[in-house]
Amino acid sequence: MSRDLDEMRAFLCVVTEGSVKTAAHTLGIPRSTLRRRLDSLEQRLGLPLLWADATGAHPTPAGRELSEHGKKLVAAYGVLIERARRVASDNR
Amino acid sequence: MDLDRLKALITFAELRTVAATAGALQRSTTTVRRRIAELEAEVGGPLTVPCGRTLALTPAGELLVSEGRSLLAAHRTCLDRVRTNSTGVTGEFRLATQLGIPPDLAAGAIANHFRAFPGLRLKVFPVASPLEMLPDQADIAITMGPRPRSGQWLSAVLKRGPERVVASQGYLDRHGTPQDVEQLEEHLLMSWVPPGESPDLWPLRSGGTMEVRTSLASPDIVLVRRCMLMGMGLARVPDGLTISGIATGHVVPVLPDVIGRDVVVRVVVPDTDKMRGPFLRFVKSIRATAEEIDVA
Repeated sequence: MSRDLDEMRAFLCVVTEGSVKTAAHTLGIPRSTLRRRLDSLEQRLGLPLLWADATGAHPTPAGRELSEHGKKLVAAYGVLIERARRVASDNR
Repeated sequence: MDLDRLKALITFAELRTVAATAGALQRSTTTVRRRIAELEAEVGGPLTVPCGRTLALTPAGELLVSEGRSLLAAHRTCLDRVRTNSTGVTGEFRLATQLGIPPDLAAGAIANHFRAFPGLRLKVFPVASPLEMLPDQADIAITMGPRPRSGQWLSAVLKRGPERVVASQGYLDRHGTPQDVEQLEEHLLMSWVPPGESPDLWPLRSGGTMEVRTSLASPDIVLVRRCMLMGMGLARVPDGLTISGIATGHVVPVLPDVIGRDVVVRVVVPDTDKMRGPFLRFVKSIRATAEEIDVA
């Protein structure tokens, strides 16, 4: 089952933290789970989104573009769910 | 949080039955019900209510459907745009490599390149003098030798290794091992041709050079090493850049304290506004394998 926003959130966290290890710790998930989500996202896009060197993980050009849009998407989803919660609460 | 849950609710709102929704999404009815239930748990309230023999949307459900459509469309557009604009740096890089540079070294230098520039095509061709190819016939060069003149070039050191005289153990068993430089005359001498240098001037560890008469000279280091391994004679090559065979005893250094020097393998581009940005990104991508960056 696709977990679009979990994958996006995992990717954005790696971009922010600059490291898969640190991102896994921040998200509270095993590194293997984080790695799986990143691989799934890259496979779906057919593009590498991150590359690594001794200084950490860095977004590719595609990764930078996805990061820019992804942040807005995740934020918009959060706002929508919060509004739905308020409506659900008002109608109880 | 999962967009598939939103998709399930939106599709249900359009088709009005769980069975039709499951068919459209190619999932089981159990999966569809579970996804909607998970979304309800996330929202903290029902998203559908029984309405006769069907289900209708609650106000919260209607909000998620109406605004969720835009969200899903934005997600699809985002992915499509990333795929379409995926290259960042586009076009083609022409890479001229020094003839004889070990393939694993060149491959190591460009291994991360494709991850950094996935849309960039790389054409690689080995030549005797890579710097002479810049900028008209090549964009970037991997070369061996001294640092190019600053102000004209940007360069990064990929690797340093010893250049020395070596021979196969079998050759030395048959012909003896030279004990001093005068005894070199008794042997067949082979040498790579360093860029801009004579193969007949061999470097001395103490500084300066000594003149010899080589029977084989080639810019192709692999060829010269192969002839040495076949037992033809002594070879002067940048042996330390490869798995030389010294550790296994098949290849023996000759007069290592007298003859030789360090050779530097560099990545070089012309220092122009056009190349500076991509070069620095390329250098960053090979930083794990580069030993030092000497960009001004």
